[in-house]
Amino acid sequence: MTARPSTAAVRQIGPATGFFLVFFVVPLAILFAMSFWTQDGFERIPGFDLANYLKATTSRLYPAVLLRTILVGFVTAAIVVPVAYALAWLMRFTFERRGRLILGVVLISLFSGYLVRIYAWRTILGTEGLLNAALLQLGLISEPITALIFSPWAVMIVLVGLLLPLAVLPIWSAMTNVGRDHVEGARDLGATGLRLHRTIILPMVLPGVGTAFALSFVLAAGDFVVPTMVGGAQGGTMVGNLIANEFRGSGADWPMGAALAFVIMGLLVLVHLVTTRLLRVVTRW
Amino acid sequence: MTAPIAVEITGVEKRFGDHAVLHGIDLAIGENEFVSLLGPSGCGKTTLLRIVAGFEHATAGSVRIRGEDVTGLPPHRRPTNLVFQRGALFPHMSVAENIGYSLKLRGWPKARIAARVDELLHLVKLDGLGGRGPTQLSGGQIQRAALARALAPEPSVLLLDEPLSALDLKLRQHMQLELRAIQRALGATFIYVTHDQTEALVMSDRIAIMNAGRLVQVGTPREIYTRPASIFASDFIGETNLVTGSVAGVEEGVVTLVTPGGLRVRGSASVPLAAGSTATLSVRPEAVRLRKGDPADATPDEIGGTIAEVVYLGSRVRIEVAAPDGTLLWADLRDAETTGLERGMVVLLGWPADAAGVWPGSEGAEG
Repeated sequence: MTARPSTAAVRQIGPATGFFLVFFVVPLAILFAMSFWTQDGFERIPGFDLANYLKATTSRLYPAVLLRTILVGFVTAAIVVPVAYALAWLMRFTFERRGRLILGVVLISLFSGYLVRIYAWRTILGTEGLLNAALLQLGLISEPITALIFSPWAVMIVLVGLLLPLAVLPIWSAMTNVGRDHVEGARDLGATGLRLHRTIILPMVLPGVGTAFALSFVLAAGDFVVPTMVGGAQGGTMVGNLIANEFRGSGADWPMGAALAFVIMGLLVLVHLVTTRLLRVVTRW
Repeated sequence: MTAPIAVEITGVEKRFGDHAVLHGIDLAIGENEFVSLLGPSGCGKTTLLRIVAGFEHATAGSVRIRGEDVTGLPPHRRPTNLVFQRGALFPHMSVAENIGYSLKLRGWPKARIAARVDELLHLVKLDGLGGRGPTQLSGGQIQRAALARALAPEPSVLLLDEPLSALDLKLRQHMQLELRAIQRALGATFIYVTHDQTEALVMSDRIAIMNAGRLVQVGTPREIYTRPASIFASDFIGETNLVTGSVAGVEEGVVTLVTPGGLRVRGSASVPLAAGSTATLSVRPEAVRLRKGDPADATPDEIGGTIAEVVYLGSRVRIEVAAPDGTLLWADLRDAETTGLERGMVVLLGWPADAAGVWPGSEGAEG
C-alpha cells in the first residue's frame, strides 16, 4: 500500500501545506530561535541563552501569571465543554428539527464580532449594568455588586459566553454520528442517565469533546482582550497581556515575549494531553 | 392457543396529535411463539413494537408481559430487548463488549460475562470474532452480533424491527432460517416486524397482518395464505388475481360476480353479500387451470380468453390471459403443462369455486 504520493494528491494538499509552512511553521521557528536571544536596551542580541526561560519560570511575576492563565483557561474550558455538550445533546435529540434553528442562532452570535460581544457583557455585568439594575429593582441588593465586573470571575464568565458557540460546533458535529437507535439501544439494555452518557454517548463524541476542550482552553488561556476589558486590576493580567507588552511600547523585549509564548504553549499542550488522557480513562468501558 | 400468554396487548391506541396511528389493537402472543407483525410501511407495525418495547407510550390500552402490566414502564425496566434495523452496535466497543454490555451494567463478574458472551457468539455463529470492532463486520455479522447483544440479558420477549431488511436476498433467506432455528433452540418468544410477506411466511408461527393502524387478520401462515380474511390480506400475502364486479347471485355459498365489461366469475363468499353490491374476487394464480379450447366449449365455470403473455419463471410458467372484457388474469403452471401454449392463442380458464374468495368492496379498499 505504500506508494509514492500521486501527483493529484500533491496538487491537492500542496498549496495548503505550503501556506502552512510559510506562514506558520517558519514564523514559529524564527520566534523559537529568538526566544534564546537577549535584549539590551533597544537592541536584540542573537545568541543562545536560557536566561529568558529561567526568568519565565523563577521570577516573582511570571510563574504566578502563568498559573493564573492556565487556571482561568482550564476552569473556563471545564465550564464551557459540559454546557456545550448539554446544548449539543439538546439540539440533536430533544429539539431535533428545531436543533438546526438553535445552531443558526449560535452561529449568528459568532458573526456579531468579538469586541461587540465583550462590550455587551460589560453592559450586563457592569456596576450600572443590566444585572445590577435588575437586582436593585427587585430589591434583592441595596447597592450594586462591584465584584460582577473587574474580577477573575468576570473574565471567566465573559470567556464562557464568548467560547460557548465555538465549543458547541465540534461536539454537535460529533453528535450527528450518534444515532437515535444507539441511544435507545443503550436504554433498552439498561443504561440510563449518567451511565448512558459515560459509557455510550461521551465515548462516541470524544473526538468532538477533545476538540472543543482544546479550542476553548487554548483560546481562553491565550486571550488578552477580555482580561483588559473586564478583568480590572486584580483579574486583569494573563500571560497574553504580558506577551503583548513584551512586543510593543517602551521596554519591549521580544526575546522574553517569545520565551513566554513557548512556555505557555508547552503548558497548554501538557494540560491538554493530560485532560484527554483523563477523559479516555473516565469513559473506558 | 394452549401455551401460556407471554405478551398481551389490549385495546392499544396511539395518536400523535390528531393523527391516529393505531386503533384499538388486541393481540395475545404465547410463550415460545414467533409472531410477525406484517404490513405495508406506515401501517403502525413499528409503532406497536415500540409500544411493547417501551419507547412509545400508548394513548390508550395496556401491555402485559407474563401477566405483569408494563404499560407505564420505561424500556430498561421491561423484560424485553429490541434488535434494531441496522444493528445499532456501539462503535467504540468490540463485538464482545457490545454483547456483554447489559451484563456488565447488571454487575456480573468478568468471568461470567466472558462465558456468557462466548456462548452467545457460538449461538449466532460468530465464534472467534468477539475481539473485532463493529466496522470490521459484514452486514450479516452486524445483525448476528446485534441479536446476541439483545439476547444476552435473557429477555422474556425479543423484539425485532426489520433486522434483515438491509441485507441482500440470498443472505436474508439464509438468516431467516437461522433466526427461526435460534428461536426454536432457545424456546424464546419473538415478535418480528417486517413488510416482507415471504419473510413472515417463512419464519412465523403466526402472522398478524396490519393495515392503516388496525389488525386485519391474525393466523398461521397457512391460514392466512389459504383463507385470507379480506381483499387486503389476500393481496398482501402471496400473489393473487383480483376481479371486481357486482354480485349477480349467491347460491349455496357460491357467488357470481359480473364485471362492468360483462365477464362472469365465480367464487365462495366469506361473508353474506347482497345482490347488486360491489364485491371483489381473489384467486391465486396456482389455483387457476387452463386448457386449450374454443370459448363456445366453455363450461359455466370457465372463461374464454387470449394468451397475452407467457413468462418463464424457472420452476413454473406464468401465463397472462386477457378476458374479452379486458380483465387480465394470471395462471401459474408447471413447465410441462405449458407445451404448445403461445401468445395470441385462445384458451379456457377456470378454477374451483372454493379456491376463490369473494369480499365486499372494491380492490384497493381498506380491508
